[in-house]
Amino acid sequence: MIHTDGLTKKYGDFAALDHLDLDVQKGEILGYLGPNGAGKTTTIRLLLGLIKPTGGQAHIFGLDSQKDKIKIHKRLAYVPGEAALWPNLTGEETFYLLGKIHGQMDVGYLKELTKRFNFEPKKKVRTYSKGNRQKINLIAALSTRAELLIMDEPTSGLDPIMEQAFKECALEAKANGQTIFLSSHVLEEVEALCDRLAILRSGKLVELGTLEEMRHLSAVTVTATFAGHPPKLNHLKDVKNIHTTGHQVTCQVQGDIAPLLAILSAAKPQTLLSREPSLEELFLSLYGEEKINRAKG
Amino acid sequence: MIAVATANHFKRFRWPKLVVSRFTATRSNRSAAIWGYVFAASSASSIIGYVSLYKTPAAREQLVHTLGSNSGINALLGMPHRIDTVGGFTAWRTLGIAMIIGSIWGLLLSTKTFRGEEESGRWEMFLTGQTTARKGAANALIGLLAALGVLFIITSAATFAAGQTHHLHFTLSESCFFGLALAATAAEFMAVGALTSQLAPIRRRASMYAALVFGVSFLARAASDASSSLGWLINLSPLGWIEKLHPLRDSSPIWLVPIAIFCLVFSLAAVYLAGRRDLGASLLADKDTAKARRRLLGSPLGLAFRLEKNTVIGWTLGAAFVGLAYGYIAKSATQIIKDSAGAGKVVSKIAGEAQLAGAKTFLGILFLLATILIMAEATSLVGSMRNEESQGYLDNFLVRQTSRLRWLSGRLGVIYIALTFSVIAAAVFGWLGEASQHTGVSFHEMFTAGLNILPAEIFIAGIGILTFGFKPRLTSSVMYGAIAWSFLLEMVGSAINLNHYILDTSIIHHIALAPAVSPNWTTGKIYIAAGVIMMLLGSARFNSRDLQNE
Repeated sequence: MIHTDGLTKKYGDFAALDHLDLDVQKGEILGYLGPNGAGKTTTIRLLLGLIKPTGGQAHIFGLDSQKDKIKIHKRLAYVPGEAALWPNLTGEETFYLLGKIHGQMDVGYLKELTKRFNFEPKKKVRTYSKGNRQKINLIAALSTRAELLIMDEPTSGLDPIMEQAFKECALEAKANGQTIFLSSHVLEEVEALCDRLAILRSGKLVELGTLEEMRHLSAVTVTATFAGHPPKLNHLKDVKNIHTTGHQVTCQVQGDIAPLLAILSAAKPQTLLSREPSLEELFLSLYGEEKINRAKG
Repeated sequence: MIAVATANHFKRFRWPKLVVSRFTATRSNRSAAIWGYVFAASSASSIIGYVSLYKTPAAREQLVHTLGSNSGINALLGMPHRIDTVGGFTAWRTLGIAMIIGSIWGLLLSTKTFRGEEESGRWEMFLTGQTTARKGAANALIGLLAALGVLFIITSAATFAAGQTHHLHFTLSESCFFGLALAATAAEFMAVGALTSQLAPIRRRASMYAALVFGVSFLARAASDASSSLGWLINLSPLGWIEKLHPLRDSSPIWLVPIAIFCLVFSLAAVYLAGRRDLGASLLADKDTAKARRRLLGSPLGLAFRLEKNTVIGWTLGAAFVGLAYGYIAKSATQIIKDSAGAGKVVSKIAGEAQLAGAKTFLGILFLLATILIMAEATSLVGSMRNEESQGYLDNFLVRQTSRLRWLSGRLGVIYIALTFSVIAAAVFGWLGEASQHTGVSFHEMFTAGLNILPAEIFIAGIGILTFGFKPRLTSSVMYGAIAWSFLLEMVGSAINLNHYILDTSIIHHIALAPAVSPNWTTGKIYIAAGVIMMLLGSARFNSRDLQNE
């Protein structure tokens, strides 16, 4: 569905995106993550042909994203992170305009989405809150029933109930065979929706795979409770962040867990819990490290 | 580990409560300086021109006789006062222009500062700092006052310097009083704009309300100056008070009192109302909902027409008004030119090769003024096109089935059609004005004269589109720069013998003074060709460059 090959965008010496090699399969939801300035929006603007690459190329539906952009745009819908809409048009007029420009719209679904997102279309755009303006973008994009949905921070400004409505719509789209390229900072949303994740750092793709495949990047958290004092764990090289509170010890292990389990078992624990890292912990472990390296540098 | 900032890490900024004043002053100083230089050039050229053209008391007496009895010119520029003196003539001519340009600049700058900043969301950032809505509004007014200070200093200094070089010996206080009068034109409508920004929900409407106040003031002043029976009206018009200041000759500082009261009342009302309403709300109720109107929403071209409709109508009406006003007074002006050797020389200086002093020459000058006005319209429309890109509205088209060239051709279509409308409006209403006074210039001649200025408009639009393609962020600056440069050269060139290489850089300089002389279609073709080439180059570059948001 989407294929990029060494896609690069440089501004002078600064590489906003550096040799991105990425494939997005039909019918999947790909989460595109990275801190501010990592190159997520640059990638999307390159895919949409709004800016030109300084190296490499991107193909969508097998078509060149620069040369065949109109053919590509016919089959995709885009949700920007910031809603730049004409302030004096009403919501309804904006839907009509965006639908006309796109070329197709499921009017019945548009009405349904308007209800599901609790949106009042009679008002002028300038009177809407940020969240309501974002709803216009979402409803307009989803109602096209396009094969590919490219979304850049789609839930920006939405309240938790509307975020839930969005998740349901995204899963319905996936069930209908639509593909979603989802750039987001809401890790819980990405964790809930995405089949695979791509993580970007300083313009470079640093991780790509399923959440399961990425768990190795972060430590497993282990918590054990004992009848007496917990055993000493400081000498174990793969164990860190050890916190002892009364009869309970919590630590994180990255690497071989067997030596830790041997010591804990020997001390006869009353309870023993181990938990895999959440996406948030994964993300923090990746970028926390970068922050520390920056501070050292 | 969390780093804890110690007191040593803090930088304390001075005067945080005055940040709005400083921000407003910084944002307004540049345009204040530009208009300061324009008024200074007008003042200096009036002094230089008058000294060289009206040397004898007889010539000056003739000027008084002809201008003083012309109700059309009185209505447009104000009642001449002591124009038998350099000071009186300079004040009358420059203030006459400033009363229109300065007032409009003042009201637009003010509504941009108040309602424009609020619409953009930046005002909200200020109000979360060390200020309140009322203090913020008061601070913004102080910032505008600082910008007026820039205009005041430039015009006062230029008038003083020009007076010294021609041994007229304008005192520093006289020059400063003249600068004050010029700044007062803008100050009055800045105060009006500040108030209407509290009343209207959007900047465009705030500007419209302020323009309405300006229009009423102008009409009251014009009616008073044109007809002795309505003379009392001048005492009710803020522009009339400016006229009555009579700087540089027989000054009447007492008229500063109503001006100051007017500014103070409107400013205080604006500050008071700013604290009475919610952020983003307005005192006059506005309809937040509307019935969907799908007309013209089917294509980028349709939307461009819909979005620019009011702007285009406004500019076309402006061109029609200028045409009508100048057409109406053309016959009277002819009489002045016949009666006054000095005025004849002024006209022939502006006209260059055209030695025909008469109604056609005067109408030719009308078309030069219309050229500048319509160039400003071209800048506004090209700037609006750039705004679609900078604000991200264009993205909505380009991520759907619209190519860049399709979108651009729609916008260009609107620009060229609007410019043609304005040219035709100036010509047709110019003809109506002059025909109503039986001046004797045929419709065909007037229409041809109108078409004569169209190539220059295509040329300036070409400059704008070329800049839009290559340096989009400089689009409006480059266009306004080209217009201001041409305008200044024409103003100064009418009074002093400038080197022709310099004069040739003025876009206006090459336009034949039709209907006084036949249009130079060769020049017209060159302008059109250059304009089209620049448009094509700019379009091609736009098609291949990255989009550049604000």
